[in-house]
Amino acid sequence: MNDPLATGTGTGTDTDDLLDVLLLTHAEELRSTVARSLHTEAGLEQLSPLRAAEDEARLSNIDVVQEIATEFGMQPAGESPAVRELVDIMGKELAAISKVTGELWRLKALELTRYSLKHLEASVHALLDYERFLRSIRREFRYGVRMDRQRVLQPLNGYTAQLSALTDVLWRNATSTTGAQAQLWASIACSIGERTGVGESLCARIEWIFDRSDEFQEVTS
Amino acid sequence: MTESPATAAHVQTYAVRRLPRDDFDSLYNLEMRAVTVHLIHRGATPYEAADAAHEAFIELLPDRWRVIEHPRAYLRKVAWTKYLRQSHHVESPAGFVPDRVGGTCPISEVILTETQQRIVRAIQQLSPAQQEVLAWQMDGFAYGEIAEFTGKTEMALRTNAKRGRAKLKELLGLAGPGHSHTEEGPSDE
Repeated sequence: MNDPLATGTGTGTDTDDLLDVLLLTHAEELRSTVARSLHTEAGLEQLSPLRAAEDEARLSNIDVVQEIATEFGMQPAGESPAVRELVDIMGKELAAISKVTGELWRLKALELTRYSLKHLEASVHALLDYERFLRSIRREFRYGVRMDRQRVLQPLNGYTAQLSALTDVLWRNATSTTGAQAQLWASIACSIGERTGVGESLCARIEWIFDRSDEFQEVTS
Repeated sequence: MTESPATAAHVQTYAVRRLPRDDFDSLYNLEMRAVTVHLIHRGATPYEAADAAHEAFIELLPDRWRVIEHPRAYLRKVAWTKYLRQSHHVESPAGFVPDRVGGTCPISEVILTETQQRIVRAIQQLSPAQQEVLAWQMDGFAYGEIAEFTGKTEMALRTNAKRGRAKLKELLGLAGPGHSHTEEGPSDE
């Protein structure tokens, strides 16, 4: 990215340089000054009631938030075709995870035992965590941020294993129920099974990218 | 100073783009101050700015902050709109703010150094369009991004930035002899 405060004229005079330094330093210092006066803990406390119902609202607002995401989501992916393809697949996968999470959550309307409801909630939260993680690494690939291989692959493998276990549980629910309920469980088990497959494929693609691109290898001590 | 302004800007942009998307507290702590300063540069008092910035965060809840691709840009756009809609002028931290869902972020008196006051006053003397582009730039956004988020053309933004910078140099006593900012043209949109 270019220097945001560059003049754009290509002349780059001394006074331009001086003004750049002055403005950047000033902005940083002013942020610190303001930070000292802001009581952000109290501000966050004020917001806490609005955050409490977050996941519930998350599931009922998928269409709305996707619309906003479209409005504010329009930067080209990284330079490498493999990375661009990865980012595209991740984008589609995020939509698929959102959809299946919503479907799973709607199963709470079924007559579930206390244990099953608790299990259902745990599964939904696991899917939400996975979605957040995937969204986060997708952005990093998209912007070409240097990434640590283990920090990406270890959790991704973990989430994929969770999905696989969840698929088994859902199939057991499908076979232990009958009629429409069994169909619902089976349908979601299929969807989660597909997510597992995509998760494994993402792991393989990411490993391939890490193996072949120095750009994404973290340079750490 | 051991770092060129270009490097400093790059580091800043790099850092903010790695905001953790699973940590609202961090987003709030980092961006509340930055959006407040953004609005100060566009004419708000620190108290009006903090109020509008907090209101913008309310719009990100309960879960928009997780899914939109550009929360920093979104916050600045929404905060600016909130500031314009404020019906009260707040000159002090005790200024009246109507009760609302989500409350406010309390703020104590903001004491600016003489240099800070001088630069803020100079920026606030620019036209709104010049303030806008410089405020976004000081937050690490490039022309292409600003154009995308504000709906203005890059050419208009560059013209306004150029004029704003020329005027700032004069106001801050950085302009060399014979320099003038009074270049006329169709921008300042």
